[in-house]
Amino acid sequence: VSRTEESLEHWQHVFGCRAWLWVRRNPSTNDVQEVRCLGDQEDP
Amino acid sequence: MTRGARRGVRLSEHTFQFSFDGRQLSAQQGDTLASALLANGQRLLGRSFKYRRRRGLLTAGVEEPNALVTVGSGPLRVPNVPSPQLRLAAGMVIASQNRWPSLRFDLASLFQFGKSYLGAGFYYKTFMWPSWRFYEPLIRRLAGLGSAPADCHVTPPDVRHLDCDVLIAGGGPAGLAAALAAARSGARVVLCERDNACGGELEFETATIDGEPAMVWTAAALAEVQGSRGMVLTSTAVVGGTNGLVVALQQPQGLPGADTLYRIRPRTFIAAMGCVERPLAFIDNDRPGVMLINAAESYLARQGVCVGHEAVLFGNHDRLYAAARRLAAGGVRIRAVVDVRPPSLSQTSESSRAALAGAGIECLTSHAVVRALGRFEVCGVQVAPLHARAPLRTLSCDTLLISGGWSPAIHAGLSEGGTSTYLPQANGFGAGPQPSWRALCGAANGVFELGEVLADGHRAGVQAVRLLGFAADSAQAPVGQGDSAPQLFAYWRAPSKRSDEKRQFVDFQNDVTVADLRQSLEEGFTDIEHVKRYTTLGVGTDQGRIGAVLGAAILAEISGREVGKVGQFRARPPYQPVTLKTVAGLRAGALLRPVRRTPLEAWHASHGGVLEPMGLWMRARYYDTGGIDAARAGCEEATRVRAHGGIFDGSTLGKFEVAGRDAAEFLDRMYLTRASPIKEGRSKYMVNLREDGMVLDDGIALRLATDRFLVTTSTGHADHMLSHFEYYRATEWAGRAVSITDVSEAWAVIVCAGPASRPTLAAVLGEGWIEPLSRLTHMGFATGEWHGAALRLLRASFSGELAFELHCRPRIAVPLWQALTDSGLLPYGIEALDILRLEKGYLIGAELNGQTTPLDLGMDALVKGGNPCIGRELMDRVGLHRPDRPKLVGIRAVDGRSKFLAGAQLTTPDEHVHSSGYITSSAYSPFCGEWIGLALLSRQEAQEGKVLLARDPLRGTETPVRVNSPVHYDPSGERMKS
Repeated sequence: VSRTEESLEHWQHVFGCRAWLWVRRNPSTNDVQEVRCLGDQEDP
Repeated sequence: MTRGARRGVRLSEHTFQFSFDGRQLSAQQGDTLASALLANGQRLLGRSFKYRRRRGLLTAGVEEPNALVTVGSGPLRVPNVPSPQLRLAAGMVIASQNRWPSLRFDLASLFQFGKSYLGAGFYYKTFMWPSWRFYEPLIRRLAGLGSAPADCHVTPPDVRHLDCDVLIAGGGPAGLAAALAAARSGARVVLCERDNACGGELEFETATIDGEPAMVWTAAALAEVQGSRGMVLTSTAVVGGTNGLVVALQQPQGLPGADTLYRIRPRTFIAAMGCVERPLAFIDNDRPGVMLINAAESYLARQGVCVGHEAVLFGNHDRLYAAARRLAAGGVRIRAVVDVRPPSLSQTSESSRAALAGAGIECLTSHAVVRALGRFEVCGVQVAPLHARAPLRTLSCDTLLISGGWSPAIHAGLSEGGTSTYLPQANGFGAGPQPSWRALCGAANGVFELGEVLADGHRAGVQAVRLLGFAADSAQAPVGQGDSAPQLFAYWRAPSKRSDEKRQFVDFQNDVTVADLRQSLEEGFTDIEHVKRYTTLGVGTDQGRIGAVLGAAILAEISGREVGKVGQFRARPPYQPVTLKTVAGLRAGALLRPVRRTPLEAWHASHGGVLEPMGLWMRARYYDTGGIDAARAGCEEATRVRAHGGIFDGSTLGKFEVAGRDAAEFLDRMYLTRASPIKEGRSKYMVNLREDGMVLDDGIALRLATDRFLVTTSTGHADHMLSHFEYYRATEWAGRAVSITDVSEAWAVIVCAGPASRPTLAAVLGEGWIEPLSRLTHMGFATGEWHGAALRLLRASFSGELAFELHCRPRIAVPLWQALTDSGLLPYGIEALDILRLEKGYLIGAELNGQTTPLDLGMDALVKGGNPCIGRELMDRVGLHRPDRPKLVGIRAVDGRSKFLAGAQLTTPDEHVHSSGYITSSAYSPFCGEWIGLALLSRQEAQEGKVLLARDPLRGTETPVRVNSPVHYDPSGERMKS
């Protein structure tokens, strides 16, 4: 799933609401392109 | 070494005193330590790393490799401060470092007489007999630069966060041109300049920009940037960064104590950090009195200090001549300019040379300095023609100013996958392709002529803002006139005999010579990264700023390769020495991690509890009741629990409420043991697995209601377990009726263990609790109140004795605990708990090492349930059932008295190489009267009664031990069910 320009990751909002999230981001620039709650919708 | 005729542009009349190595010296406001020491005639400022050779100032910047000093004393001491970076203040106490007993006479300087034996990698080849450890203490004492204080009280920096459209590192002409271009487009600009004033070399070059004197233009440019929402941070060095975050450190005085750490998130980043002048290699090129030309010009212009009385300039480019004119005008007598190039490769005209000659400055072209003369410091140089046979000439001088060109400061372009590439026109390495949001410009981009530098900076600024959607006019680049292009010539070292290469220094800080580089190649270390590690070229605070390009070029010359093919090793951030406290900030000492406190922590501390960290909590290891040690206290407390009883603070356990219609099914999937059969008011021992089938944690699940459970986890795994639960609730059980709430801090837990626990609890809790206390069977629980607050009474034991857990609200924890101690149940700590668990064969912690399955740990009965939980499938892998898998066993010494410790490897008596397992936990058991332990042992060897050797090479012991059942105490469990 992960490429140089795009990485699809699981993140958890540990110091906040503790939700698990899908995060699609560019690891070269750290630009976050998309965030979804895990399980709320279809997996990206 | 005196103040020149003209006052330095940064000096004021105010004078003050400071101390250097115990001597009181005077300085003027605006002096750096380096300039003040030069003005006081002090040329010897440090000792080299390996040979302890005398060293003076080489540079005028943070890249200084020789003159590192320690500032302050005691816990406020800051080591390894480059002296040109340190801005002096009245009363500063400064000491030279890396010498003993004094800078002038250093005992370890005798090492230089053994130079033949101390070549590159000598320590890899020697110190083998009798053992490295024999020599290590002495070598550790001699190695390193300054020494850090054991207890550091230096104030950590303020941390500030900034964001901007364009961040520019470097306030020289390129950075200013970039900042102007960006600011004029409307972008928000932050400009960081390492020095305490912008302008860079414009301060001492006779240059004009847009028809004005360069420093007048600089002041106007800064005013315009600041007037356009821009921010200019002087004394602020960009020291590192990653993932789009740039870290800049502002140190008004050049050392920690009153500094600010900026964490900047720019949308685009322009690195215009200039370049570092580099030396040339010739014999004794490290003598005090040898200095880079830029440094001499800087000290003269900025602080008005003449670095010597009579100087020779030596280099490979045209800037030599302009520098000679400026230094001569400033009061330095220039004896000669030695240029390695023939006149045909120089842009300097014959008439210019004639003019210099007319002023008494001899110009020697196609010549090179081959040796610096002088035992303690420079008193002359030997010069030889490069292309003709002629006798060596000796020129007397007290200062040799050298320049081998400039290495672009590209470190900012190397982070996040950046590479370097050789730039032939600059005789140095530039940064390779950059991401769109980052650019290098000016000298950092290998451009050295002022007009080109301004144009390059302007181009970078325009590109940066256009990327962000701002409209920028590319036609408004400032026009500058200054020193002409330097016409660099690829010359790196003076020809010499092989035996003299030991005195041609390439890396001044680490004493790496041409001979070391040659030896490295001869021994097969040809890759530049291997050469770095073998010779220490470019390690330490230097990170190759002075010697990287010179070293690569000399390696290329020796090996017959191109410099670009040799390449440049990767420098590590930070760019300048940064204290660990700066990085750690306030997160140091007691604040390193957030502290969690149980309601009973204060009670433990005030009643002799010796606290130790457990996760983020502090727990009582034992209770000091009269100077006894932990082992003895643990034994006494454990004995007391078995004989009578005791109480333990278990509040740190992780506690989660899992509720909802699907809670039971959820827990069935999370744990190897099923939760759904648990009846209300009952609890169960639970084990859960990682996805790969290894045991993750164990605990207890209490069924509070049909749809509500309380699960406990071990203290250390609580955070991970919560995330683990939440992850599966969000993925596999998304949309199902399950909620998970961390209630760890909502419930304090007091464990009452021992035969006296029941009657004592009955007396303390009152009549309402007598019936549950007598009714509850093992793993049953009851709920109620005590002093108006909720209380849950669980009968469960981890000590092998009759025991109850009191889950109570925090506000009643202390009175309840106090009432229990007043009734004769004294507290016990972790030491005693571990002894009790070990005697009973319960897991201590080291057994859950992420590599053991339930079968390894003897939980066969739990596995037989066949619950299809997470990890169950992979637990059945063939490899996890092989006969060499570990099995949990008990261990006792064969002689019934010898001591053995956790970590010891278990082997058969005649086996010296292959381990069959290791001891995971051990303790002296007061019940057994001997040392007992748990071990993970290969199933092939795990037969009860088998004799093995517990080998502990770290402690030098070998103990014959016998394999036992893990349960050393009350195997039938009668006592805890009584």
